[in-house]
Amino acid sequence: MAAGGHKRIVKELSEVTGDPPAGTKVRLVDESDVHIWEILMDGPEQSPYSGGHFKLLLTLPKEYPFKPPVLNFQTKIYHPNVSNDDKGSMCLGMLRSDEWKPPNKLSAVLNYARNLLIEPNPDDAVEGGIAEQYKSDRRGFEKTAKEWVKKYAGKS
Amino acid sequence: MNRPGQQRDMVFCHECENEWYRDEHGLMCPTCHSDFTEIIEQEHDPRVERQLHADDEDSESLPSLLHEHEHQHNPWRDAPDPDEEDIDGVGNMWQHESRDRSRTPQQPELADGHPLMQNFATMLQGIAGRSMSPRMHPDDPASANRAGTRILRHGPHMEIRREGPNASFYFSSYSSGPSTFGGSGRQDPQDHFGGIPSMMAQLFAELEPGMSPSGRRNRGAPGSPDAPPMSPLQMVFSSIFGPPGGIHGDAVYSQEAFDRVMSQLMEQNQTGTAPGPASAEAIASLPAKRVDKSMLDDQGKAECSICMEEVKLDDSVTALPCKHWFHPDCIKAWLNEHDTCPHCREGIMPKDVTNSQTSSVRTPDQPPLHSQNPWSPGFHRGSGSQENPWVITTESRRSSRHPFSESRHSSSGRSSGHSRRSSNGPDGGGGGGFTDRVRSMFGGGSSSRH
Repeated sequence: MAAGGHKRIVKELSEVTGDPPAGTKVRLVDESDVHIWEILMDGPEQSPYSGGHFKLLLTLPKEYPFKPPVLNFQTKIYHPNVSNDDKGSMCLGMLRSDEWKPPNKLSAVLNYARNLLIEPNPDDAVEGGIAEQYKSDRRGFEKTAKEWVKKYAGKS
Repeated sequence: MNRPGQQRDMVFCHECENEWYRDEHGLMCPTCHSDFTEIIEQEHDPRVERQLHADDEDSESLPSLLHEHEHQHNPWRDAPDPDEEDIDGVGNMWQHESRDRSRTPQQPELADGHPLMQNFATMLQGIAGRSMSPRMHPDDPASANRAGTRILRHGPHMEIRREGPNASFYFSSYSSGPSTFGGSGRQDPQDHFGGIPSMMAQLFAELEPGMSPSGRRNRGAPGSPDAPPMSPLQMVFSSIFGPPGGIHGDAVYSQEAFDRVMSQLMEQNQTGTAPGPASAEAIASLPAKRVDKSMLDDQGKAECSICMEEVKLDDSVTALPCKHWFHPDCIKAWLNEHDTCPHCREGIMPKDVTNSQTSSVRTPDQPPLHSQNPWSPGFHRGSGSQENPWVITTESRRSSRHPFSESRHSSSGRSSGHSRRSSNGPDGGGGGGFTDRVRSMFGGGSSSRH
């Protein structure tokens, strides 16, 4: 199965690099390790993250595709679903181990992450304070999110 | 007991323990303006409760009183329960002052400093007296306490540095005059000034986990004779500045400790909402199917959605009850962890068994699902068929009524389900080894939740 997993990863990688989801670029951090992908994601136009360039790490567990990939924002982002720590974890929905299913593709994971930038999910938030603000004070949320984009997600 | 003015109402302040005549100042405390006051009556004197240990009636002044208690009085000596001691300890320290003040209801000495500050200084002195033996020399410019704690004084500026493997603490204070801590002008300001940092350094030295094995752990075992309880201030400080490991009883005080507890809970409940593994028999009894044209797409292609490898006509695949099909090995590996179709989440287990499984709630004292020993007794590599490569020898079958309870699931509902099914048919046993093989391949079910 391990060999099968490897084959699938290689296949998915070539698919994603050949036809990447909108606003994303994918490459391996280390060419010899297909389990760690570096994602460059542009902030979607219709979101407060517009203009920002976010670096993410997509780590595939050795059990992949039986266990979900792990997504970490390396660029700081003000978002209810991204942990505001040095990990920058995004772990909800299809990324949760109890919701993950093997037919999910990594291109779908990337689209999912990007759609969360457009439409955060405050009801499954990792940052409760930001989620609260997102729900009750959208303008304040967007203002801070934009400030963080300027501060952390400029051209790199 | 010195009780001036029996005929006039005397009022006692519970906040600052001031006393005054009601006809002079009314019911509100003239010193701290608290209204938590009480008229002292013959049969109910609120001061009496605070003076249970007051046995040196003849002491004349506050300083001598304090020093006496610093050296003699052990506020913890009578109380076996550390939780109560916290209260008693503070109570005793406050009591010295109330006695002293009760002689002079007009509180002349309070003119020198804020009563709160004075009380705090007294409290600190009381604790310092207890915990400092031998007493440190407050006038040393840099007196090294126990390892890792240093007190530096440069004139009015004082610093306490505390450095340890787990935490570092830095306390700095600048004082312009001796009256910062010293409430009473009769006390030597140097004594206050030197005593407090030394005492605090002592306290922080006690926070060192290795140095204070008696602190936190013994709270759960009051009554052990050689277990000095945690001092009240020590508990407060350890709460604020992070106790060893960040965990204090049921409470956590650091993000790290919180994360640790959370991930532990999440690991325990990882399969809490999701269905557990499918049984080996159910997996083994899934029908094999040849890939036919109806399974191919417009371009005449199809792939196993788990490994994403293309399948060809006449390849053998495994079909689930929901009609979704996969490579036999791929779906086995998945079903061994989750009884769901990867596409539609429908389970493969017979309905009655599935129900009994989902209704069996795991209890905390059961070992986690993922900690099974892959090669536990009861399973032996044997000559099995393609569908059933792992057989249980008759010997082990006889020796254990529940051949699966040891090695697979500890949940009683599941193990009984297994034993029931395994006694139903000739194919009942077996397959557990495959689970274990896959598990060991996957590293024993490591948590990759985050």
